[in-house]
Amino acid sequence: MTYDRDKTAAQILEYIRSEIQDKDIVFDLKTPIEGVKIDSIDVIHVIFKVEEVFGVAVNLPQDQKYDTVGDFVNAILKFIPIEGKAS
Amino acid sequence: MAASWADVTGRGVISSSGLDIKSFEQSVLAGKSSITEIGDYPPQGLRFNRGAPVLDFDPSRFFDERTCNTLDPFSQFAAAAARQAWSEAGLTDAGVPPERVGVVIGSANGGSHILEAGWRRLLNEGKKPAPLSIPMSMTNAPASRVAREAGAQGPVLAVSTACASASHAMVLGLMLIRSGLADVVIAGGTDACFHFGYLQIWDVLRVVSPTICRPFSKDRQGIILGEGAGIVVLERPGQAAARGARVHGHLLGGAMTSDAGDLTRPNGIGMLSAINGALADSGLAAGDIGYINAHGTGTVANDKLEAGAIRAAFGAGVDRVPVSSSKSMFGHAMGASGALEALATLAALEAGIAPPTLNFNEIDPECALDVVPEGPRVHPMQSALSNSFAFGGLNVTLAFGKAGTARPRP
Repeated sequence: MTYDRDKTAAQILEYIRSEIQDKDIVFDLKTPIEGVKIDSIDVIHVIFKVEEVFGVAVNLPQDQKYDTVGDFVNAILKFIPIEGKAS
Repeated sequence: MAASWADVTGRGVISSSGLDIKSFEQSVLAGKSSITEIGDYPPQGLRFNRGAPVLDFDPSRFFDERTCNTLDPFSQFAAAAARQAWSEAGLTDAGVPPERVGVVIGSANGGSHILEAGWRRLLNEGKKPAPLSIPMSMTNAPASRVAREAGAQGPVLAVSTACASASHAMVLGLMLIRSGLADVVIAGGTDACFHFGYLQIWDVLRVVSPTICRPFSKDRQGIILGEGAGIVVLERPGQAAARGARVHGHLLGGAMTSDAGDLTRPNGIGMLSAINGALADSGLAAGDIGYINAHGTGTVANDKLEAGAIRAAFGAGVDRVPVSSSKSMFGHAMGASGALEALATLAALEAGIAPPTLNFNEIDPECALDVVPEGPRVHPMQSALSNSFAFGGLNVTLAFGKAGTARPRP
């Protein structure tokens, strides 16, 4: 089974939105990662959610730095069987 | 001359006997039992059906949903109790440098709720445990949470010495203050014991009473499980007065000893060393002690050996000293027990009331102490001891003084 790239990215954005503490922050894939104030616990929860929903193992490099939310989402998408090219 | 004691300026409690210090003190000083039937907890195969769970604790009163989901109940208890203690001490915006504030919190079990839940998912459903199982279950999780909430950037430690965990934490807090490493230490203990697997592993150890907890009574049959958290704020003497904060008592001294022997069968020698050590450390004589809050588990072995140790330490004067076990009221709260009993001891000192030992039926010649069986007793006192004697042969005795009685020693 494969998943649509844009829909899956939007789905991961929603997982991030549900985890971060400040619900008033407006963000999209282009938002700098610092702008969403995502902490280490949020990241663990997002990855766990993706693993549960998509039935995959997400093994992000431990020292990886991300400039934007999109970079983080794209890093996760690499572990999901996706249709379509990277945006 | 450096002061040898620490002032107790804040107290917090989550327990079966109350979710705040006022309710807790009223309950303990009135000699009320909070032991109940534990029908709401899976009782399959258990040989006992009573306990002292914290029934009315609503974590959503203290934490938002996200935070709640990242804290095992033992951390929730500790953080909720620490907030009360911190608030009572009036330390918010008091100007104490964050690096001068420490935290020492004990736990016997760690975050056993999240571990059990994770292993159920893994073994029963083939699913992964919760992603935060490690940071939620680690024994230092409560200390780290409390440090985060209080902004404590000094020494932050967890102690795990079974039933003596909280008392070790308080002695270590005193040592940090005496040594000059901290001006404020948030100290105490926590454990959340009421879940299926934990009840089962106590059941197989055969030390839980099938009836009720009767410390020092000849017909005693064992412990009753409890849970909760007790926290005190310890401060360098003089600091509270400078900001007009009230002192609720003094931790005058303490001693830590080891049996270096059997894991579950104490030898009594370490108990006696702890009692004598606490007297020496606090500069008190046995004759100065007005009350002893016993470890008093209600097991045959502990109570006999503890009574022997107290008699040996106090000699002929032992009959003048009321000795009672608060575990007869709120059960054995494991890693929190030393802190809950320290709070009971402070309450006894402040009120001049010796709390009772409940459920006492019959004198045991091997436990020949005045265990206050008749109910709360008016008994003005200046200083008191609190014993904690743990599995693993680890013993702590704390010496407390009534507020205003601490004096620098030559």
